[in-house]
Amino acid sequence: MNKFTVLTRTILIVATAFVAFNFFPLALNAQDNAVSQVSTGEQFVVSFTPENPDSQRNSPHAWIAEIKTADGEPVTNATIMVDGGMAAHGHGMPTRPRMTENLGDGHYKIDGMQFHMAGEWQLNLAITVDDVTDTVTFDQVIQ
Amino acid sequence: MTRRYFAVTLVAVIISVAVAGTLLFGNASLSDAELKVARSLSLASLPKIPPDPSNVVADNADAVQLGALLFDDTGMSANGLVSCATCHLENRQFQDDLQFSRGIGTTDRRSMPLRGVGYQTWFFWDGRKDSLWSQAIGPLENAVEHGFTRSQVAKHVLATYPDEYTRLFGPAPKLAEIPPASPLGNQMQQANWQQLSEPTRDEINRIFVNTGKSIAAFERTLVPLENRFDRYINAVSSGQEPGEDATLSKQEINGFKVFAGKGSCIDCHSGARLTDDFFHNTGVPDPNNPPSDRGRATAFAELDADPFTCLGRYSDAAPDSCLDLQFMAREVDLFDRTFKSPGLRGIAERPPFMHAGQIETLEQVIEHYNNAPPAPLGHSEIVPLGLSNREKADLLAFLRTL
Repeated sequence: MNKFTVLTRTILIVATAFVAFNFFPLALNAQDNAVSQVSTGEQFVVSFTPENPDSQRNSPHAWIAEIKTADGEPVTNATIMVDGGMAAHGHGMPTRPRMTENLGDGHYKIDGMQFHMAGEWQLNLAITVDDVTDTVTFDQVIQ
Repeated sequence: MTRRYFAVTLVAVIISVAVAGTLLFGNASLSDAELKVARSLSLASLPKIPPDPSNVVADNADAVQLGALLFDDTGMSANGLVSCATCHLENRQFQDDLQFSRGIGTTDRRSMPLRGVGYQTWFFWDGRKDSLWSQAIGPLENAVEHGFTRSQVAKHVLATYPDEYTRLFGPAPKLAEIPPASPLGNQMQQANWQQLSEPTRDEINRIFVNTGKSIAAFERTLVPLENRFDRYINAVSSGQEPGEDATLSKQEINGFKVFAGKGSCIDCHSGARLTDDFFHNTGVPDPNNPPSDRGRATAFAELDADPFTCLGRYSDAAPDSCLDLQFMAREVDLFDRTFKSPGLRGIAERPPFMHAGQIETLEQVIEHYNNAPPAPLGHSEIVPLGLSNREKADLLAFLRTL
């Protein structure tokens, strides 16, 4: 390989990088949202999703928490506390969501969820069953 | 060999031109991702106006008509000279260009433009009202705005618009001779209110509320207007060459990138109305010395005491549809000196800025956010941006397209 080929290739790589960097900036964060997670103390397997996927993020709306034991049995007598925030911006949610209904079969309705900013939110659930509390945090990208 | 030299030279020239071009003009086209963000700020992303279940006549055409008359009616003021339109002028984006508004006296905050107001959740700079109709009746009884009382409003509306009122709200009660009376008025007006029977107070309240509901119906028709930025985004997203009234300069496009990127403006000024409808402490100066306006922090007690909320007896909503109030975040400390993010449509044409008009020019607003001084009270959420002079100029140019 003579030195001109090396030079040409180097220049082409630099040029490509330059064009890519300038004309195709990083796409918006498209990270997949976790579907279900094991709680910190490994007591529960938890999923947390919007009740209606078409909900407007910046109006209060409901999410559904589904709670199972590590063996996959539904947990039907839990009490759930929810808060959230954006670590990157140092603020919490614009609302104070709360559990409004035990829907049975390990499903619970959390109403009053609202996100006034797009981006990565941390949603913290504290799940209490028979005086034992375990927590789980979801990193959730809200568009 | 000669061809290789040629190829190398050609590539080098292309790169030099690209680098020089970028340095001189910046990258003035929008990537797909940037266009998506830009579109989220344009009118194309404006949803349908949300219903107001607390106001049964919110979208009633007769109420819109009556509301338009009431909006301009100076008969609902202590001196017969003040109407809603006094501080919300139609040809001035429904605001008044003043630092402090002038009604019977002088207010301590700036009047807000009204286009798009039907989309809001919280009203006034501190969000002490949770519906447009409840907001609309506030100034009528404010001593420095209309300086009127609810008993006078009720009598005036029944006397001036008897047919319109009856058509919308059914037969009106006959109000006996009642002196100016209000639980929020001066000492004498409050004493007069105390002397009224509970059913009479309720009748007055209901007419007062219906007045607000009609004004709200009218105000819901004040939709945001299309601007040059909207037209540009429309053209570009449909693959057309932007027409003469729809072009954005390279500087304006670069300004959008600052707005949505390094400037972080979009964090709070998002969506087609360019607001998150929430409350933030951005460390703006307080015109009072010592600083005294605590903004949202004092609104919670007012909402609790207000009979005219979504959860009150004069609301048409089922309590379980009052989600904003039911799930409201309300820690006084967290909200100290926070104020509602205003929408930015038409912003360049309506100085002075901020809740008390304390910043005179848009250049100074940009300087404020770039410097991020500590808050006079509470804790400022913003951090210094490190914008160059060129980025500041670009941002200003972009704001002028809105």
